[in-house]
Amino acid sequence: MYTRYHFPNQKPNEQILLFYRRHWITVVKIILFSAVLACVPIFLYIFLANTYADFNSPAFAGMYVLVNSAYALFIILFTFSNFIDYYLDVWIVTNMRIINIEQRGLFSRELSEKDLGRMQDISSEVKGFFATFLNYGDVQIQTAGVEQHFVFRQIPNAEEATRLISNLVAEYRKHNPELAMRVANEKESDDVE
Amino acid sequence: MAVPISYFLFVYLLFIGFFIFYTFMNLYHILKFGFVSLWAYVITFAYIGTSILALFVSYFFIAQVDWSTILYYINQGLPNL
Repeated sequence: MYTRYHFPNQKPNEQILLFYRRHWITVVKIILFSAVLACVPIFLYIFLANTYADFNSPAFAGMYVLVNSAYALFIILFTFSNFIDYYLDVWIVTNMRIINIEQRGLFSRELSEKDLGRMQDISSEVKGFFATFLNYGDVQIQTAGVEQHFVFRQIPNAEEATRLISNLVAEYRKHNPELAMRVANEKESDDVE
Repeated sequence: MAVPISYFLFVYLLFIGFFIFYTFMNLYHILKFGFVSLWAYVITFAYIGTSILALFVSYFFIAQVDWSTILYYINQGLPNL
């Protein structure tokens, strides 16, 4: 079971320091889109009632009930599936590592993690009217050694998150100078190549 | 050739099967991988409640329809529509 203080494969003495999900505007977008879809049968009903002479015939009524019912269930399922997609995408920063969990549809799940000391080039990007107005954006973190990077997508207070993660990485390296030295050497050799 | 509208009821039942399958998959994901929070409980119970309500309302209307009504192919006209 996952909680804000515990997750599977948690190491001894590992604590969750930062926990991010996408900004709440994502949920609002899902709800608005579903609400628009839910209005379609109302307009369809008005249209058919005004244009179709045999609207109240038994055969048409039966078909109409089935289609409407299936459509309503589809919207409910679609909304909940999108919510799960939003809810299961999380980015966790602990006192030891960064964990990236992304749900891609119902049958694909991606989990990646990296030691906190191996993080380099942490940057944020706030792009667009809503992102600027509501203060959310992407945080990109490049890792040392291998070509791997983390992207925290549409998280609230992206700039503040960048600053906090940078501080945590610096703090971690201060307590692990050997790792910091190794990462610096790897970066130097990467730059030479 | 006459086609009773009950044929479409079977297609609808197939869709209900698909809906139930995806519902279980969604619930499995949120129970196994979801972070425990009030928010998750509220949304999950709202989903289950809304689904049950939609199914009951559907049943109420579906029960009123005469499923023995015949629907003809277009080349023979649509006398019952």
